[in-house]
Amino acid sequence: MKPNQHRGAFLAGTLAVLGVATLVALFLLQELPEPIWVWVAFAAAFVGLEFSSVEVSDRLYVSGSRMAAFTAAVVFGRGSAVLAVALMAALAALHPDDLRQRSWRRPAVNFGQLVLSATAGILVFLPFLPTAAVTAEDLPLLAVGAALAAAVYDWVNFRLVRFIVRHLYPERTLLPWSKLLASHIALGVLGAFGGILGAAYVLVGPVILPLIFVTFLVGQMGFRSYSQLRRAHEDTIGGFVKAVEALDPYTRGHTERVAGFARVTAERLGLDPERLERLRWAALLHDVGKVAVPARLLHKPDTLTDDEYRETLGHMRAVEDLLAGVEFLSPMVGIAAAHHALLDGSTEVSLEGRILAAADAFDAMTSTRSYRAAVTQPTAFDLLRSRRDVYGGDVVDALIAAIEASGEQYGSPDEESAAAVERLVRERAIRA
Amino acid sequence: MPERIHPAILVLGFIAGIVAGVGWWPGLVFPLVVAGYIAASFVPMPTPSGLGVSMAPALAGAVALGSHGSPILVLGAGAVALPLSRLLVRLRHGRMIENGRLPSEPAGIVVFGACFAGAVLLLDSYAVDDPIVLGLYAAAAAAGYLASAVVRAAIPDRIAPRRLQFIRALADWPAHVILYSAAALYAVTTPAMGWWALPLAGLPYAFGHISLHRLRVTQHTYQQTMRALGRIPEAGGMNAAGHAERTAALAAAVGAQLGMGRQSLDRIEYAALLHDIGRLVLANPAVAGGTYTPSDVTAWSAAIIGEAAHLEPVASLVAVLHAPYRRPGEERDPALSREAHVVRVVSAYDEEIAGGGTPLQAMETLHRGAAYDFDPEVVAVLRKVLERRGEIAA
Repeated sequence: MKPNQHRGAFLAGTLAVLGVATLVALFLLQELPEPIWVWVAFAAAFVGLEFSSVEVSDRLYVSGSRMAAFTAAVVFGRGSAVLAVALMAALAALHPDDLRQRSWRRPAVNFGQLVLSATAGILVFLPFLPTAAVTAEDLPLLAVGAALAAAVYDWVNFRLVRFIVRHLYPERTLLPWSKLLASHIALGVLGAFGGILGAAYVLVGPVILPLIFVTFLVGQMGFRSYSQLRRAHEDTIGGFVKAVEALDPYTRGHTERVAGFARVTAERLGLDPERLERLRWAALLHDVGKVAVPARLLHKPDTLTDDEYRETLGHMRAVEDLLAGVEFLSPMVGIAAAHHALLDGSTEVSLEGRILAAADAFDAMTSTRSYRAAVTQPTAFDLLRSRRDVYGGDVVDALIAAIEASGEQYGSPDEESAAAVERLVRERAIRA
Repeated sequence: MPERIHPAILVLGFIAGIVAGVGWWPGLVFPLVVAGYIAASFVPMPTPSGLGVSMAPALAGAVALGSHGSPILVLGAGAVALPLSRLLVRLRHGRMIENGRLPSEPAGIVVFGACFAGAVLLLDSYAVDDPIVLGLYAAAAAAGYLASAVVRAAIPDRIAPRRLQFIRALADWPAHVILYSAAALYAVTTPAMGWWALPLAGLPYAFGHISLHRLRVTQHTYQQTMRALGRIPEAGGMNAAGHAERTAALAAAVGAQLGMGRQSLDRIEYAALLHDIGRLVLANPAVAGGTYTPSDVTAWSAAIIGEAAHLEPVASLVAVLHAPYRRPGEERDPALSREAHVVRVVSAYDEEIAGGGTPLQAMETLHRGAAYDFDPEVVAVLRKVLERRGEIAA
């Protein structure tokens, strides 16, 4: 067993023991929720909602289970609220995928963190629950209390998840603060709503549940369709880019390599995940314009004349303009187009545009093309350093440092083989 | 079906609504409901079809339940609000009815109100949270939604046939469900919870609204992307300008006229947009210098489209586009879908037009090839669609 696996097993075991201890304590301190069929209905809703969280925005997932937890807390009252919700949370740890894979570690980790965070949240909510029957006058206190308790619920949950991810999956990127804040707000609102819903259930009766359920279900379907369509959209563009790249034997793999160089450079420069994602798309799209370039220009075995170069750029810009008409692609195409503008001598280019241009230049230098051989990596670094005024010193330094840190070698292995390939390329060009 | 609501109907409805409203609901309730209708008709909710509905059905639902099914409030206030809201539209945009057409939403609300009020009158007792009342409400809402889809399909459109418009309108059911459910939630909880009913109904509504908005924006972007990809061979001079988009629009109309469902129509539209994307392979000198056949182009197109896994059905459709309807002396291949024949026929038609032919000349070419090159039924339906559009004489 590797050290990471030892640590994982220990963490899962500890969390599971803490979860069980919490449930035992709650069994001793609280009453069983009654009537039991109502608890079963709420538990089913809680588990269903926990398993079907929806992506409401890019990488921001929200589950309605918090709402069900606070509704149940109000319905079961002070005497059994914490036990009722903690038991529901314990059931939600049994995800069918984990059971199918006979995995025990993830359910154990989830069991512990779900029971602990649910218990903490509902314990904070307890003082806000009325001692007698719920009335309309209790609604403001219930709403405020549920929002506060939901924040605690979420905070404990987030801390535990972060602790687990940091120790078990150090390579994973955690959500940026802006996403977390949005998530806290969304879950706080859902918690407050759950409190009001619980009071409505007590005051009006179960007839409101199908109305709520139908509205949320349709909304959830909308978000699910949105999420699927977004993936389909990315899949479509990704597939198209791959197909386009396959058309040109000399640049096969070029966009993926440029995307890789751009990513490591941007990470060194501290770009946030959203800018990294935009840069990735821009890198994938940066050469799409060449599909419209006539073959005689694209594969000319010699350097292009000024007129030919202008014609090539014109065709590329026509495609870039087409794609820029798509709202989602517009910023990415803007970055990709900016790197062409940089080649034209423009000085007003964004950081992403400069990163992309440097990554593109490095890959072009270290790849053999129809009209010249690849240079060696040190030569490519020297050439990049000589263009610090074009790409920016920070970008050039970050790119070189990132490639050196990776330990990879690109381009011709040495000057001698570079010269030999160069001779072959020139001979073929003369024959052509 | 009239293209406009006759002004006399609007005026008569207005007067009847005022008389009934003032007679049966003295005080502020009636004017408040009228004002609510007017305000609600200007608050749009996004829908999958892109046409959108307003908040008016939600208000009609809340008023129907809150007033114990009073037809005066649901229908009378609506009759007064409709001309007033149209008047506001005229003041703002200089015309009384957008695009000179009958709006479908008031028709749906009228059917909903009439069904619900009629059913409630048949009940001896009424309680807002009675499951029977809520069942009647749901049935009336469904009738209203269907009525508005029928009216929208009845609106004459030069481009899209009625069936296509009806299918698009039916796709808007999520918006209607959210509006009517949120309204019922508000009406059912108000007596016990007062103003707290508003956030209780508002949050599920907001959740649904945001989801439909995001879905609509993503759908719009996806369609933009598909159109942009379809136009790339045109940008490179490898295809006639506008061929992909014209073929997609006409093929969807022909498909709808043939009675195809929504999924088939989507496949046809995407296949028509991307069927020539394989021409990009011509950028490769090894290919451009050699000879190639139409089946090569469809194979290249299918390979490029197939790179996106979810477009596999579209790729399969495009892969057989070169195949004729029937080869001489052979039975037609049943494996070739009607969808593929639609795209093939419409693409051939548009190529003739782009080549300088008139619609009649293009149809003549298709008729000559019917039964062998082209599916004769598709050719006949294309002719009908073109006649309705006025591109060829009936």
